[in-house]
Amino acid sequence: MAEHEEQHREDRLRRLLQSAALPDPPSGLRGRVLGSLPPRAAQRWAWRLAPLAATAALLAVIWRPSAPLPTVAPADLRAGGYVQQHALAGVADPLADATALHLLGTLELRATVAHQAEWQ
Amino acid sequence: MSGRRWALVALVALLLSGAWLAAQHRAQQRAERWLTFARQAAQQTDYYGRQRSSVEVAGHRQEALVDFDRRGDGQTRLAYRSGALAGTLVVGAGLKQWRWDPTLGRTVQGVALADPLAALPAGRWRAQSGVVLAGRPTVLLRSAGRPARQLWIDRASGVVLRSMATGPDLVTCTEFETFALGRRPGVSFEPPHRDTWVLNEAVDVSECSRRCGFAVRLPTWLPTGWRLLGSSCYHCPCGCGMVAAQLRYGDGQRAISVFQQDRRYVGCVISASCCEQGAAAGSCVARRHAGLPLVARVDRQPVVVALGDLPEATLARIADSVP
Repeated sequence: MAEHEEQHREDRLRRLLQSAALPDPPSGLRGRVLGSLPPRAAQRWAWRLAPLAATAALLAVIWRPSAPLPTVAPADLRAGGYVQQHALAGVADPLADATALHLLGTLELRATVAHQAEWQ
Repeated sequence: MSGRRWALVALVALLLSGAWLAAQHRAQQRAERWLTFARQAAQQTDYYGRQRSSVEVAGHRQEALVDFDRRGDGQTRLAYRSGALAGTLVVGAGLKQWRWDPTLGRTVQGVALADPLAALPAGRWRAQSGVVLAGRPTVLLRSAGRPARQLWIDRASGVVLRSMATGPDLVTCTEFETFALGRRPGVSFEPPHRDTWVLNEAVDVSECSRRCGFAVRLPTWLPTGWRLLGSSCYHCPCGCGMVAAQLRYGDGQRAISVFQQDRRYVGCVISASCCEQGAAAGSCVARRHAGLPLVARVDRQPVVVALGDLPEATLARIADSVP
């Protein structure tokens, strides 16, 4: 009797397994991300990650660069005369470090004068 | 967690954020009051003392002792007593400055373009208690920009007693070792006039165009908050006759200069290899010089050179925006 009931239960289970169609896997990025997780975990994490993804997207929109910045090639650019003038032009600001700017500017001018012949 | 608990958590977070924002606003207002006090002190107070100043560029350090005198009417006198500049005398008045350089054996006349009224604080300063300098208690102001700046301001007079700027490879620091209010007896503010060499003159942009021989054009793009502080004409010191336009911009904390010059004279200022490389690349070329980013567009007339307290890519965008 017990054997009969056991057989009956196995048959019923086999029929159930054969008849149950598997659900279609989710498509796209969501499918690739969630498809790799067990169904229950996917459901749980999808809800938790949604606000995080929305915040990240919002921040990316807010802080996006207004236009792409150009790239510049390094070069042997020795415009010491211009560095000197830039440093010295700032000394009128009462909060600028005038003494250090004069030090920097004067040294740059000496270097410019010393190397001028070499550059030309 | 129930809805009521979530609401409670949100309320606490909101209150904490509000308290933090209010504290930040108060700290910023306090810093701005000290900055205003310091600017007023520089324009109204007579003071003098001995300063120790240092410049460190890419591991190379220069240090100098300087006798410093400042008068409330804007006159400044710096007499370098030690270091590489020993014997150098600098006198400044308004937009002009004269420097007697014993090494060059000449007086160099230059220009100061920064307009103090334009240099308003950019809202990134914070105030805290500072150390005692030259026997006087100070307030320390910090700005987190690049370069990061620190100012130690005398609580009583508002004079900046120590100033420090720290950039990626340029560090400058100047500090009063001795300090007194009033005028040092027997000091002359007469500009040194031996073999004067006019290197730079403050003129407006249209006069710059006339002197340079080409139309000086302003950049059409600048980062938010930046504006023109002044313009001048730079005369090449080699005697070739080249005149370049200098446009100075600032945001209240940082400054850049945009130079424009005739391409015929490019070799006077920029190395030949750089000119060839820049012309071949058809884009901006860059290098740090004396700790400052420097960018040039050499394949156009006039040549544009931009340098100062901004990253290379931003300077290149400014240079490229010159019509």
